Amino acid sequence: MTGLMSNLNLTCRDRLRGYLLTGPGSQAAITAAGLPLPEAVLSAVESDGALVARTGSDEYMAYIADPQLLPTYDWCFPRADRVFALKGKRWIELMAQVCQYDFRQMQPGDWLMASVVGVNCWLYLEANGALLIGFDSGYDHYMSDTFSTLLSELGDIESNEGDAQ
Amino acid sequence: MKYRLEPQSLEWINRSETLNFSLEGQTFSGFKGDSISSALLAGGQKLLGRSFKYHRPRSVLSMANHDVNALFQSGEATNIRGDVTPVDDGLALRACNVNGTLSNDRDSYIGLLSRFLPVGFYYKAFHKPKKFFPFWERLIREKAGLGEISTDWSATRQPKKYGFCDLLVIGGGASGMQAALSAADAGADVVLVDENPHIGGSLDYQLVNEPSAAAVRSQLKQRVVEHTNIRVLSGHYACGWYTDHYVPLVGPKGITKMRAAGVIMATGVMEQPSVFRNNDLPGVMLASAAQRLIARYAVKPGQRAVVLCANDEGYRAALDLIEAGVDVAAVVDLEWLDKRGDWAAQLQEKGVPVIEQSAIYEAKGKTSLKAVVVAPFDGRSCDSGQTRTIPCDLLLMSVGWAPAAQMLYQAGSKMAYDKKAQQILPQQLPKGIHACGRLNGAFTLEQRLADGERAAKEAVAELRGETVESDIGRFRDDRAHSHDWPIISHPKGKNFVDYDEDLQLKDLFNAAKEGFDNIELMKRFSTNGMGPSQGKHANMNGIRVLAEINHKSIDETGSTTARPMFHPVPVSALAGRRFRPERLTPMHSWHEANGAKMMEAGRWLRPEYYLPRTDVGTLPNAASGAVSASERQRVILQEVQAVRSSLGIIDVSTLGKIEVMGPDAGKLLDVVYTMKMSTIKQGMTRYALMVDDSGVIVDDGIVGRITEDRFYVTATTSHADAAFRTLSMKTQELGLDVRLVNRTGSLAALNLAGPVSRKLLSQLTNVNLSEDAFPYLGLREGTLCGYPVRLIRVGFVGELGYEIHMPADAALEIWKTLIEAGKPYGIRPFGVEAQRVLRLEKGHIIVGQDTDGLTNPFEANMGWAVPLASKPWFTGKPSLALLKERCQRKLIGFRLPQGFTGESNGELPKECHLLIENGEIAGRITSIAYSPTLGRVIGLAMVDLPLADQAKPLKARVDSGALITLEPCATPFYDADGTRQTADLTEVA
Repeated sequence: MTGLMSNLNLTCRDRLRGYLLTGPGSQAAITAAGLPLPEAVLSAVESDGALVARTGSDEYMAYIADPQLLPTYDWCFPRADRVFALKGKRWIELMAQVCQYDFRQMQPGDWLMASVVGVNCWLYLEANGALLIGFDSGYDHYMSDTFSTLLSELGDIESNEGDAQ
Repeated sequence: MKYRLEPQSLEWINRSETLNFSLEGQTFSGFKGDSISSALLAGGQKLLGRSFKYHRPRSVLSMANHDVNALFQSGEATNIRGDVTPVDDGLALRACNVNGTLSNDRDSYIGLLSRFLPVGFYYKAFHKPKKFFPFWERLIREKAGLGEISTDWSATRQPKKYGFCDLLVIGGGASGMQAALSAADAGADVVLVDENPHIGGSLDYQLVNEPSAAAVRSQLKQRVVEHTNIRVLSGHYACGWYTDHYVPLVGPKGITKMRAAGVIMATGVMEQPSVFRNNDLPGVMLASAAQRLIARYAVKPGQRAVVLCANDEGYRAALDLIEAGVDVAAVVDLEWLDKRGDWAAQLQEKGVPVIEQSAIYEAKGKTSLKAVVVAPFDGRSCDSGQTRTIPCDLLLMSVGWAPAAQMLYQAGSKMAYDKKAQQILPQQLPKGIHACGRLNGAFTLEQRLADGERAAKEAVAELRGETVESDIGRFRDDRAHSHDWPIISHPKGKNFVDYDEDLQLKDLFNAAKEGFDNIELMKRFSTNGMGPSQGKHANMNGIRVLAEINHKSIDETGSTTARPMFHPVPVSALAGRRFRPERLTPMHSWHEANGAKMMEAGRWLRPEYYLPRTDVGTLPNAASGAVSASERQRVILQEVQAVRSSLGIIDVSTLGKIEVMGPDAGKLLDVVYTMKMSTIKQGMTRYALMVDDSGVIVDDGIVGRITEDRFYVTATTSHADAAFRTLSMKTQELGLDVRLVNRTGSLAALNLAGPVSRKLLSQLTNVNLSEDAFPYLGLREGTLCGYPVRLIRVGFVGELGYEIHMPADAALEIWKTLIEAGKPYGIRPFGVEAQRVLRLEKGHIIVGQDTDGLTNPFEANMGWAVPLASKPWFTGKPSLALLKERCQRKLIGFRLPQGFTGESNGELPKECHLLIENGEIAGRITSIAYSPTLGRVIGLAMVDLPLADQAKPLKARVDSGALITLEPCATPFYDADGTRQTADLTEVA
């Protein structure tokens, strides 16, 4: 899916597969799989197309495109996430309409879990400026419809309201 | 536009764009940038509205979004505020609250009856004779209220957005601009908001002709606009203050929900009227209103004016009138002239007479001002024996101000009356809140600028975490700009305190006499300040009047609560975009393609029932809902029968699915659920009932044990997230070594139910399904169609059945495979409605339908699930120990007489219909359905004790009011011994 809003587009990262690892062996499993390991809770690192976020003291969410990197671990659970990538100059303006986080402070490499258009999402800002938005795939149609509407409506609006967001 | 002035230096109108509109069919012209009122006044239309109660002629008062007597109606919109709403080309308007036309309002006779309509008359009249009350009620409802709502409206929604800043400065006048600049210079990220389309505030109308202000104005504006740390939101108003400096800013395109670290209120002051007889006549207006008309819209407000004043600002207004070509007949000063400054001297130099120590005793005119009667004033009353009449068509009132402090109050500021300023001023401000400018008693331009800078310094220091000693009073003026009693009594009344509600001075005195002598009580009895302007022109005078009556100070009298919103906010702005998350299961596309009528179940969409394919395909209109009730009932019953007789399949992916792991997993589940879960054997499940601390049922499901330290928990569709939160919270509270994974979205689930289920499933799975290897309530892991699955033998619908939990991305393939393989057995998908009937036949409850927010397990006949004696602790146990002996109602089964179908022999009761015993409510029906298995209508009802135990017929009141007899009976209605749970086709054949 591609948005129409000027300087802004939305695509799907279909190849990313998500997993949740938890428990005392999670860290070792991630390391053994050759995945990057974030140090701080609620932080994330990416490497070679893999993104790993630390969501608890021994809980991680790993998103990998290469199935060979799948960690081997009893408490590793596949997730059914859908991942959007929002990219463009005015992405903060769009997100200001759908999420109450102050995205002006979000830096490349930052990881966040927040409600977007009423759906629990994780968000990650890539080094290339794309904002990844991950959510349960059951909301796929709702998120797609909502973002499509937002993109088309905002495309007609000049950003001339003082840029308050 | 005969009253249009020559171009003004700061006018808002664009003279190159002429707009045509109409009022009551008469065409008017205005310029782009005109408000409705300014364009009408420019065109000579002085009469703009009729008052609320007496339908008196009214016109401009403030031109500041407070003119609630100049409200208009267009095709769709009502209560359009003429003083601030921009005129638009083609706009067709009529006045609100007019019976007939503005000039010929048939309800204007009500004013003649005013002596019979004293304050609070509607509380006392019309009660007797009782039979006439409906007549009076209808009449009052017809006459009361403003505007007419068009039911033929088009729904509009304005998007909301979130905004953030270090400092939010509310008010773009001199002090606000200075505060924004000082804070921005110090590095703060500032948002400056002003309700007007242009920043400048009173600098641009009150001081527009003041040479010394010109340089300050241009410098402030230029620096503000160019400053990279300042974002200017003109045309936006802060509609309220909420906790943690959350301030909604309402703009033309919707609401920005601004979260600021600090707020500087530079909201200014609202000019207050003088109270005297006929102070509401068109032509009588606040001095600042005339200044706005001249400076913003280039409209000449009148031809011959008198200015009533009690401050220097009145003299400035008189000078502005002369500048605009208005003949100023006199200035009437409530005090002595020697208290005034340069502007008074300038006016005297122009030869304008000043009548000192005098007041307006009365305004004369029928539909507009023709003259004023001036009388000596001693500070409290007029000497009516020494009056003089001055012909004029314009009277400006400049007798004082009230702070626009609504949001200061909302933030919890302490305010007090300052006798020197004769104004309520902030005394103590909460953390993060600052005030400056005229709101804070700084009146001269120098004071305002200095006060803005002071407020900014204090705000920035606070943001930096520095200790701040507030010097809030440093730049306040030492002269009063308000009179403490601009109120003149008159034996004939019509001296209005509240223009919104037509409240006269005597009304407040009478309210006090009746005992409503507290400010909040007086407000409610008299409705002072309860109209559309919310007392912006009435509250201050109301407080002064009550203080006078009670011989108390203003502070002792107090003020009423100032609640949001500051101005009315359109519903379209409040509504915002519609974000209504909708969640689909992996099998959704199959359901839709196979005739499913979808229904909402929490956020999920689930099949309610399926219209089966016919020879010509799926029956039409399944998705649109255009299915007859009988057709709907027919297919639901067919689905029920399919499960009972052969095989049914239902998508239960919406169930909550939670993995509970770790050494303390059993301990956690023991705490969260009523029954002991740590004793479940591996490969088995147990019914799980969750209650809250007060013992109320909140959820149910099953807990299955996978391994010693690993459990699998299901929760109801709508409570899945809450169940996960409860488990997480208890894990943290108790410091347990447990890991939780919410797999609700990543796993799908279906229930294969019916006597043939085992036979079909055994063809597709590697799990041994024999009764010995996989007993009732067992849980097994294996593969199905090559995918890893968990199979659970549960019996919610009362037949042999298997819940199959599988990866979401495999679910559709597994579902299709089962459908295909089940065809020889007549497999039929069934929806939520059939499931409800099936479980009802079995007597199983649905949490949230058969229980409510007060139901405990004993009331739901689930005492068996509450091991008070054998289990040391679980959530809700102490409450349930008490509730066990205090049961007040009970869930019972009932059935309708044989042959009662609701079609020809009476109205069928519905869920939530009440049970009536001796004329009193004695319970309600929680579930009811026709059971095809039993051939009669069955249901569950929550019935008060002891009636529930008496086994006597119950009466349900249906929609028509008729009472239908229900026969109490035992549950389950079907297969009480549970033999169907272990039967397969061979055994029951």
